[in-house]
Amino acid sequence: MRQGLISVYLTTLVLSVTAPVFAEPSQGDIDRGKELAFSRTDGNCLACHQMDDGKLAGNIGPELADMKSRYPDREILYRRIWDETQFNEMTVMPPFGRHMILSKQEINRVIDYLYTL
Amino acid sequence: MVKAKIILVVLGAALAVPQVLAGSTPEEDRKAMVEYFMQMFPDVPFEGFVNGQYALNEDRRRQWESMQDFPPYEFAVADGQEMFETPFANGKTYASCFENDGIGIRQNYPYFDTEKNEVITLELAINRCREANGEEPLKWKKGAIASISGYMASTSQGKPINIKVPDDPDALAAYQDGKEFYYSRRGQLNFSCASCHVQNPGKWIRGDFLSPTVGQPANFPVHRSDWGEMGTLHRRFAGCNTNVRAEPLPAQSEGYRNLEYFLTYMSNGLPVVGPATRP
Amino acid sequence: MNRPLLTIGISLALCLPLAAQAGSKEDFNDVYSKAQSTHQDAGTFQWTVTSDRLKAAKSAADNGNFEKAAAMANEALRLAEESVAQRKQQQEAWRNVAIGN
Repeated sequence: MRQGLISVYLTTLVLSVTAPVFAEPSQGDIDRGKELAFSRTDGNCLACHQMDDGKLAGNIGPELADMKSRYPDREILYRRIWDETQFNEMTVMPPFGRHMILSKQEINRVIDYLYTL
Repeated sequence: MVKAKIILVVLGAALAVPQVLAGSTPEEDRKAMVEYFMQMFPDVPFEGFVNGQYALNEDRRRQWESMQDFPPYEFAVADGQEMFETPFANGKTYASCFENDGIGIRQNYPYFDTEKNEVITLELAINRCREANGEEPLKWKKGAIASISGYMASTSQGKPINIKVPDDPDALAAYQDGKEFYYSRRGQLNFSCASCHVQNPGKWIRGDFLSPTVGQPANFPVHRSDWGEMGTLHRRFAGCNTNVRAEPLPAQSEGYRNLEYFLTYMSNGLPVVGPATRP
Repeated sequence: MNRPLLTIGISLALCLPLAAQAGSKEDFNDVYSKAQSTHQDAGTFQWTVTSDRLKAAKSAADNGNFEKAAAMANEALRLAEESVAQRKQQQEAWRNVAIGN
């Protein structure tokens, strides 16, 4: 039953979340993504991840580097930021999309930025 | 071990076994938790856990040790003693409400009162003592109540924490409720107490260093540099809940008292070291 | 002959904005009370962000800005629904990381 529920979940996710084809992000998109990733009230990725030139970064999660080679499929990265608990039940990473911490558009800006790391 | 748990839970769900039947006893929980942290931090002696992050991080420990000559809670504890010894309008003092006149008893709090069917924390007992003697209750989270409870803790330093869950279904239910609270994810950020303090102690969350569950309540009330003053355990609970964007429960609500009951039971056998300082 | 028509026309024209406003006020009230009751359903799993949106919705409504009020109340409702889902899910899921069952 649980598995059934999970697959329903995933299907819904794919249907509702699928990102359109992406054009090359502008520098503005990337800057906005970095701002969202670093801000304590938005992504606050630095709470758990070392990345880029971020100060006072936590070490609960892995360092965010080589993101393009680690996540060649943008859709997968998007879904993991949207709700990592669907991939790893034990994770402490907040479900940024599902819990409306970041909007779809904001997650996409964060990804634009992450892909420069 | 944790993976094994998932398998067990999934199996349990598949077989539709009511999981309530499988409840472990408080003492089994405590032993398993102590063992879990001893394995995680093999270099830390059991008693070292009362020092939280200072037992795990050398830099933090040195900063902390340099503060110990003039601890910032000294004046508050002296104030607390004075309030504790000053008679109420009716001539009685706090001592009249407590076992052993209130000296050296911190380690027994919180306890489950089988007549009132509720968890009694030290702060609750302090305010109930006031009300029984015709005085207004104090505010729960800081100020006079933290000073009085800090003084009472200081007279109990070194005594091993000795929380009991009597053989009583209501006491066990209170313990279970606290345990469930501790492990339940809350707030928009989806964190439980355990997300940080069971799964990730010894790690940094931004500029904060995470302490393990075992030993945490032994320090309270605590002087935090972040607060610039002393505060009670329930003030800290509320702060943690707010950090993960969960509405905090009221201080001394049943939920927080049950949480304190579970949490303090997990520290049984460790010495009282409160009041103490934390970042 | 045109007079009555004109009067009707003017009255209608005057009524329209009122009607539109009344409609959004009603919409707001519906969503707001739904958001509030869902927030209550979350019990001890309420989110601070939901309370913040509810407050913002209320104060926008008090200032007559029903468009903003409805938007805030809608956000509050969606957040409250997630907090209720979290509460339900955690009834069993808390055991996943618990030491001792």
